[in-house]
Amino acid sequence: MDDPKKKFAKLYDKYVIKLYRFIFLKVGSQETAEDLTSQVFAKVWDRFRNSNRNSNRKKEEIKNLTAYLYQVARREIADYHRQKAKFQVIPTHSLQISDPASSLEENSTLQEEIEAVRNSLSELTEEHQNVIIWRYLDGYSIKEIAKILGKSKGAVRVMLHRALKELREKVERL
Amino acid sequence: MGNTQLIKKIKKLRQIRPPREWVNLTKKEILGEIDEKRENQLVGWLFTPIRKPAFVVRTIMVAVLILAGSFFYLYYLNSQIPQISFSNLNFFQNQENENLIASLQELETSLNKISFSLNNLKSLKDPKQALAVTEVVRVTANNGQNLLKGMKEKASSKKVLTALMEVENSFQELGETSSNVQIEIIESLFQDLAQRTLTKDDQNRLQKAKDCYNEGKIEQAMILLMKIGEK
Repeated sequence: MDDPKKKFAKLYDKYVIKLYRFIFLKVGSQETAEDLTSQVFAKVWDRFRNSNRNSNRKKEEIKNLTAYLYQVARREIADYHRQKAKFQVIPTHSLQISDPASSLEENSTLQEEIEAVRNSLSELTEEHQNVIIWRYLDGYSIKEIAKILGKSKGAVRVMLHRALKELREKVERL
Repeated sequence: MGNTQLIKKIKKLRQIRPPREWVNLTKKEILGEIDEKRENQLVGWLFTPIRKPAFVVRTIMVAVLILAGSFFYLYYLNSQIPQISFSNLNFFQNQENENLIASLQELETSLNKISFSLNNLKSLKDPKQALAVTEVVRVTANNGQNLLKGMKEKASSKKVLTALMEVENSFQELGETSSNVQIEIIESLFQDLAQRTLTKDDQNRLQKAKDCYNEGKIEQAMILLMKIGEK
């Protein structure tokens, strides 16, 4: 189990869906989300591998891995948006969600509903989007979110309350 | 639209997942070939039978008892608080999953009802009492959710696991609702108190409470708010 590759494989399994979803919700394109997610993991793997050569640094990074992963992801997303503004990248909008147990009609309704919530969510501030994604989609506790953001639990609760309120207004307006 | 409904809508976004082939391919591109046995081991471990039924009984009892404590406050409000039966927990000795699932569903219904009735707190005449109730329910719900996390690992079947997850979701929603109601009460108290004539001490307390609240120190803000008007 000391093999860093195996350790990182575990981390990859644990975070890949969450990170992909986090990025997808910010960029709105499957292709871009895939590219950015793999870039994030490649960068974190480089750092992880290097830090494993130095035992003191390793300890520190494993402790803050969740925060570090999201920090890298947010940087990648910001870079993507900057590039997009410069070169007018047009994302291929391709959210394919289908539940094999549902009919075509049900799947299409579900897809519409998901798209509506996603659009409303994307209108919130970045911080509000993040707390909603972490709390309700990724299932992180208030304490965990507070650690990621480096804020107090109370501050996160207030932020979450405001984010929900804002999202409700956007959803109801649809 | 209530919080529960909104959160349900948000949770639909969980269906956004990367394609499985891409997940495997990317992993291989970054790490090369690695042993994949672990994934199957994890699934197997999740569904291993309960080895210590007594532990599960205890955790449920603790969860229900803690909740029962918080229900006292809600009785004051004449809300619709359902009774939770303890007698039907003996089925654990017989390891009858069907009974367990039925009980979990009953608990889930109770939690949802409490969650729903929490909104009544906002119209309570004594906001300080309402604040105290929200805090007890919030802490209780968080404890319940943590207990459920541990119990899920000992689920004896997929059905039991699903039922436990439903209860866990209900605990989460209860916690969220009480937290949001609490914040709404605090914010309306700030507005209300700003229009009242307060003594100098109370004015200081109110200012301190606002400062604490803005720094995210909600518990401290609540204590200060509760002291306002006390002789």
